[in-house]
Amino acid sequence: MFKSKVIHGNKHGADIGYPTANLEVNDALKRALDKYGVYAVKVHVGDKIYKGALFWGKRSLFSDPDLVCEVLIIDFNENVYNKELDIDVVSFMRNIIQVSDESELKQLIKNDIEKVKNSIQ
Amino acid sequence: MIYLGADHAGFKLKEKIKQYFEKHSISYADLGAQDFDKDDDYTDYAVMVAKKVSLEPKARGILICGTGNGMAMAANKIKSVRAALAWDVYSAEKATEDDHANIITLPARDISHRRAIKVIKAYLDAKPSKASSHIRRINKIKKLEK
Repeated sequence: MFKSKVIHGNKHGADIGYPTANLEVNDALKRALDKYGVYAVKVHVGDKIYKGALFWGKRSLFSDPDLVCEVLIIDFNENVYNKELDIDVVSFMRNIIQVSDESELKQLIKNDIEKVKNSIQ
Repeated sequence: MIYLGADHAGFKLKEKIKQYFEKHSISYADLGAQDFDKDDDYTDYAVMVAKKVSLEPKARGILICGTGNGMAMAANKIKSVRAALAWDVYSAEKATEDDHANIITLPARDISHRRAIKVIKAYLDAKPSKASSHIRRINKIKKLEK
């Protein structure tokens, strides 16, 4: 469990059809996510709780050296910039996988979404 | 009456909670910190709130620090106080229902003000259990104070 503010990212996710909320990396986030990879999470937005796939680490495809944390909120299409989100970590799903192109990445994300849907009731 | 207390780590969240209480006409007393002081000690506010709660059977307390742990430890040193750390709706409900907590402590570093308000609402709305097992355990805690 941690809280983090949604910040502006470089919109890589939106460019490939999977928009994500980029989260400010803070101490609470680092404590909650003990290894790099993809997690199944619950995202609290207002009074609603959404399922999400959360990525924590360095993106393998893009030449971005920074650690990033971004969450793909499933069945969600609202502007949450600057909002503070509460995230419940449900399970660690996988390590970061090196991908060579965008289609491979899209397939990975698609699989992650399916896994999240199945792993969170 | 609900007594509020927070140190530097919980100060901002306490102010948000006060806004919620005012909006919903919920009576409260803020026992500090009155101003942000990065060097203050959670212990001082925990004791102030705990002493008030210990003297008023129907009073409740809400204490906020970074993790909620220090506040709970200090408050629980005061006789008849049962301070419980609460971080989500379930832990808050159970604090009231099973353990008859008269104070909850909140981890300001880990929960947003929106979640904190849900937690507080759950804590205040829950009803203390009358189950004999719960009463028996609480009585055992009371015996430790003698």
